[in-house]
Amino acid sequence: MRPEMKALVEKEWWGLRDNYSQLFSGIGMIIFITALSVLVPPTPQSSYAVYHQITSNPELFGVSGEIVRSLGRWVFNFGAMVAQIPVVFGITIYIVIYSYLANSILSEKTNRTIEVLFSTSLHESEIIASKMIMGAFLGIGLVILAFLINTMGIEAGFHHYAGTWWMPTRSYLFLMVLFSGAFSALAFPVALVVGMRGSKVLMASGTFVVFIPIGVLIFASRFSATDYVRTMLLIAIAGAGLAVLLTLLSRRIINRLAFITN
Amino acid sequence: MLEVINVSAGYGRGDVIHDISFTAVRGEIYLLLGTNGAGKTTTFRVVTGILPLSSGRVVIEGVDLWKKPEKAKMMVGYLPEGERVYPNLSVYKNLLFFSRIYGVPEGQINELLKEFGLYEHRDKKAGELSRGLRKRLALARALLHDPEVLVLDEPFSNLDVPSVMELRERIIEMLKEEKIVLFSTHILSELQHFEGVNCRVGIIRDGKLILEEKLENLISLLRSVEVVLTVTNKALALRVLKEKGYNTRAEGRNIVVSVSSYASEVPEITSILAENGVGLLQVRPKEVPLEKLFMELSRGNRTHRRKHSTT
Repeated sequence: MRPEMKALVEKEWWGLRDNYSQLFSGIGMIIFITALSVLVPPTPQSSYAVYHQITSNPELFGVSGEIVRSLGRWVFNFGAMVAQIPVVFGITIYIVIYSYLANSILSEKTNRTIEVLFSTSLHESEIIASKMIMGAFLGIGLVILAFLINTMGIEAGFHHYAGTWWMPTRSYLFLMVLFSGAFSALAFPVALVVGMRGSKVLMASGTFVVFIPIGVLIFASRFSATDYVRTMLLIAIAGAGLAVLLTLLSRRIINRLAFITN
Repeated sequence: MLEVINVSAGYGRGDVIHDISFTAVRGEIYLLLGTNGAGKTTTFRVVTGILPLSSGRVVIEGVDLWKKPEKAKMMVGYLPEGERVYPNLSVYKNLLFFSRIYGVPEGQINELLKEFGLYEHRDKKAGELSRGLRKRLALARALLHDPEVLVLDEPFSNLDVPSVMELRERIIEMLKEEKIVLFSTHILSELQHFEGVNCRVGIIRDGKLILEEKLENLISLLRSVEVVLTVTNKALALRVLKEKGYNTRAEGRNIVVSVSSYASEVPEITSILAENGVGLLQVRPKEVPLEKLFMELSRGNRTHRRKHSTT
């Protein structure tokens, strides 16, 4: 990596670190969602529905009927934290990365600091790459943080009610890591296209991408837990595929003229 | 030397500047004058390697800007219009970032901050500074790597009077260091402040360089006076002055005569009129307003075009 490129990545880090609101809004959101799902008291009906789902889908939740009974009313929180919260995290992480990247690109363009960068020996692809690298660090960091916080929350509750530790299932790991990862990846090209081509209005529209999984999430609540996981798997694959496709397409629009406002 | 040779460039929908050529030498200011939208910023974007060329060449100290951009760009410092700094970064980090890009030792940053009176603000975010201080920071950044060519796009716009005066002094200081300074302005009165300095002016209109002139010549052109004469015999006065080669016209009860120098030519006119028996009742100068002439040039009403060599 050229020293100039290192300087660019470092500058992105300074910008992110010094802009507490952006960094901590993502972390705060993850902690808030986890705390909410641990603490919110369920209704008897929702507990019953979740109880039924958990006992009939041991491959997703990885617990026997006897253990589920020992969880009592906390079974609802357990079910949400294993099956639903990971998807919410994926969407949250998408929004954080998308808003960081799109804002970063758009502000360079509107503040015209990009012109100053172009007057140096930096190439436009290096400027974009530095933002992508910082976005990737941010995404990986948030996925790890979300995984740790949610899993620790599940383990704490599980140990408290069942007196034993919960073994995370493959489906849980998929939802927690792959789904979030796929949506983080999708944030890159969407932000790139919007940031380079877009106005503030277009930028806001990029956020609407998250309504797709949110809509599916609401719709999929009628599904069995197994079908739900499959649906989310399909969304994750589609998200990752779209990310690759948009990345390939966005290479076409990375040109100097797209950054310069006459 | 900076050479801009037959340069045309645009933003993808046709060229905005057309076939522009000029040169600027060390210790000289090249001032690009034009109305808003004339093509000044586009020209500077080309000179700084920001905007790709449609045709032509930009050569800085013998290095072709688009063939060896890394080497050429190291010789250029650019201050775009406005205060283009990173508002969320501290003053120090704004400079630290560019010091790493240009490979300038970090130790020089504090010196530069002190020189520009920014040291006490070093930990403040650039966005919290006043406009004048932000401009100073942007200028410090442009000078960070001690460039041979400094390009300043509308440097005096939106600045308070003390900041304008300070910036003007800095520009003149740079000439003493044998730098090449390019700057643009649409404020015509700015010219007078660089009188006596080695400065050439290019007037740009519709993306074309329509006039290039030494500043002193341009100022003299701008200050060429028209003299209003009130005489006892208007017809006779008009005839004799025309015979002597003066450009004259009648204006009401008076005669207007164009002279290049009030001090040397008015006594001559007075004696011509006296010799021909015309009584002179009143003489007063009628200066051609700077703005009027500039607008005429900008609109293309005047065909005057002079080219001077760079020496």
